[in-house]
Amino acid sequence: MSQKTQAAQLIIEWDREWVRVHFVDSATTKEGASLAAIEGVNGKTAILLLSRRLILQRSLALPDAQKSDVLVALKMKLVDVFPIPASELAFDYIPTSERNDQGRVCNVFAAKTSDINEVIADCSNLSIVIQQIVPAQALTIKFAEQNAVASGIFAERFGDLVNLDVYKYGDLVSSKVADLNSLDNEIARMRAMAGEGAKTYAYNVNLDGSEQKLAAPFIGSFFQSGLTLDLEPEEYRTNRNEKIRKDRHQKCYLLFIAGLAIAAFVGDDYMRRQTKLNTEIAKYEQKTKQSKQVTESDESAATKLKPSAEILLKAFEPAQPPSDILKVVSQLLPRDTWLTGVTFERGKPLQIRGTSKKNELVSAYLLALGKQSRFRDVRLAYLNSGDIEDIPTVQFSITAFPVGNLVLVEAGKKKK
Amino acid sequence: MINFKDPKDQTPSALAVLGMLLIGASVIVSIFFLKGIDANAYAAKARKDQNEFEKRKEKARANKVTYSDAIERYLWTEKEDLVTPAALTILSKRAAENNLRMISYRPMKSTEIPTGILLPMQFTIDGPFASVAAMLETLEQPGSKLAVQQVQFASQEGQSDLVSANISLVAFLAKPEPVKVEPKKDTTSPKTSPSVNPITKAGNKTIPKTTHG
Repeated sequence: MSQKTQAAQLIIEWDREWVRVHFVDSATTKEGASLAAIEGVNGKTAILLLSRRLILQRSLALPDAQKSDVLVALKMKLVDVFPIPASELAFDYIPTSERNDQGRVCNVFAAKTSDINEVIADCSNLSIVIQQIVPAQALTIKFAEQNAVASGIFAERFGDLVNLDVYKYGDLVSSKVADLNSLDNEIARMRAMAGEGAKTYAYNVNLDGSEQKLAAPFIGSFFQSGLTLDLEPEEYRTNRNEKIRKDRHQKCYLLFIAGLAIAAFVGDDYMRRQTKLNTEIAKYEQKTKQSKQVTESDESAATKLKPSAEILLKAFEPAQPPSDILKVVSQLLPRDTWLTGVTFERGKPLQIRGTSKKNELVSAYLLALGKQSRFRDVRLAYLNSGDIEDIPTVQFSITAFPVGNLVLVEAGKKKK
Repeated sequence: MINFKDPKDQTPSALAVLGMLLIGASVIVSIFFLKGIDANAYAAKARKDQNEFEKRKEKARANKVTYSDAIERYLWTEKEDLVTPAALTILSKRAAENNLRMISYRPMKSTEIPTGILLPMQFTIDGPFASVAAMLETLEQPGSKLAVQQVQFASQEGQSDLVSANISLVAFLAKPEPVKVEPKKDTTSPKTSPSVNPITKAGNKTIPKTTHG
C-alpha cells in the first residue's frame, strides 16, 4: 500500500457538489464544482477521499485477527449495523487502541458501491487511475490521534459546505457535511455532543472566535496519516491490477522481441562476417602456403650454401687485397728510403722494415702511413742508427694493421 | 516487471529474462567477437604476409646466386691430388707472365674444416718488387682459385729493385662425400656406391687421400 500511495500524484476529495484536489508534486490545492472543472488532473494517479455524505460510519468491536478474517466477520455484522445490504456496500475499518469484552473497538466505514462506481466513472472519464479510496473523515481521526485531541470539533470549509467531525473521549461520534446557513446550529449541536471543554479546530471557517484556526485543509496530510484502509471495490481493484499486469506482460514480450531482434541482427552480422572471412581464408590460405613453401625452400638452399660461400668470400674478397696494401706501402716511401722487408699475413699486423738516410724521413713515412684510412695502429717498432760504408743510415721497423684484414679461416683440424 | 512468484507472470517474466540475456549476449558478441571476424583485416594481413614471403624469397634467391657464384668461382671441385699440380701450373704460368723466377713450390698438409678441405701451399719467387705485386694482383683474380694467406718480401743484397718473395696460398677444396661401403653379403668384390656432393654435384668414387705433407 505504501508503494501505491507513494506513486499517487493527486489526492482528490470528492463530493457530488464540490471537489478538492491536492497536487502532490507541487503541494498545491485546487477546488471546483466538479473534477472536470479542475485543470491538470487528466491521466494522473490518485488517492480518492470520499465525502462524508457518502460514507456510513460506526464504532464496532471486532475480533483481533488477521484483516482478511476480520473483514469476513465484519461483513456478517454489517446487516445489523447499516440499513443497506452488505452486498451493496464497500467497507473497511480502522482499529483503535481501545478494547472491550467483545474485542477491539474499530471505526467501520462503508459506502454504497453505486456511489463509488459513480466516482470511478467520473475519474475514468479523465483517465485518472484510482489507487485507494478512503473516507474523508479518516484524516481527522489520524489528526486527532497524532495531536492527542480526545474531545473536539473539526470544521473544514469545503466549497459552500463545511465538513464537520465531532470527537468525544477519542471516539468519532459524528461526521457530516453542513451548508453555511445551518452551520451555527450544527456547531452548537456538535459542541453539545462533544461536551464541555472540547476544542474547535477550523480551517477557512469563521465561527464565534473561540476556535483554533488551521493553516491547511486535511487533504494535504494524507501521507502523514499512514492510512491503509481502502473502500475500492474488488472488481475495480482486480481490473486495475489486471491492466497493470497486462502492461507489464506487454513490456516483457516487447523486451523478449527486442532481444530476439537484436540477437538475430548480431547473429546475421556474425554469419555474414564469418562467411566473408571464410571466403578470404580460402582465397589466401593456399597462396600463402605456396609462397611460404617456395620461400622456405629457397631459404633452405641458400642456408646450405651459406657457410661454404661465406668462408670463400672472406678469403677471396677481402676488404683490401694484399697487392693493394703492398702497392700503397711502396708508393708512400719517401726519397732516400728503401724497404728491406715486408710481411703481410691474413689476420695479423703488417710488418714493414726498411732503411733510410734520415730519421725525419722515417717520421714522414710513419705519418704518411698513419694518414691512410687503410691502416690503423701504425707504430714504429724500432729505429736503429748506423753507418753503411761511412754513410749514416737508420734502420726501422713499422707495424700497422690493415683495416678489414680478417683471418683467412679459423683453425681447423689437420687431416689424417 | 519480472515476477516468478505468480504463475500468471512466470512465462512473461521468463521471456523478459530471456530477452535480456539475448541482448546481453548480443552486446558481448558485438564487443568482443565481431571485431575479430574481419575479412578485410585478414586479407590485408594475408597480403602483407605474401609480400613478406616475396621479399624473403627474393633475398634468399639473391643470396643463393651470390653463394653459388662464390662457390663456383673459388672452390676446387677436383680431388686434392689434382689440385696440387693444377696450382703449380697456374703459379708457374703467372710467374712467367710477370718475368719472375720461381725458386720453390711446396704444397703443405691439408686441413679439414667444417665446409671442406684447406690445401695450403708455399712458393718463393725472385724478381722486381713491381712484378711481384703484379703477380699477386693476378692471383687475386677469381680464375686462380688461390687465396693469399701470407706474403713476405725481402730485398736482395746489392740489388735495389729485386726482392725475394715468399708467398703462402690456400686452395679451398669441396668436402668429399663419405663413401658408403655396403656390408659384404657374399665373397664377391665389395661395391662402393657413388655419392653426390651437394655443392660439387660430382660423384666421388674413391676415398680422398692426403697426398702432401
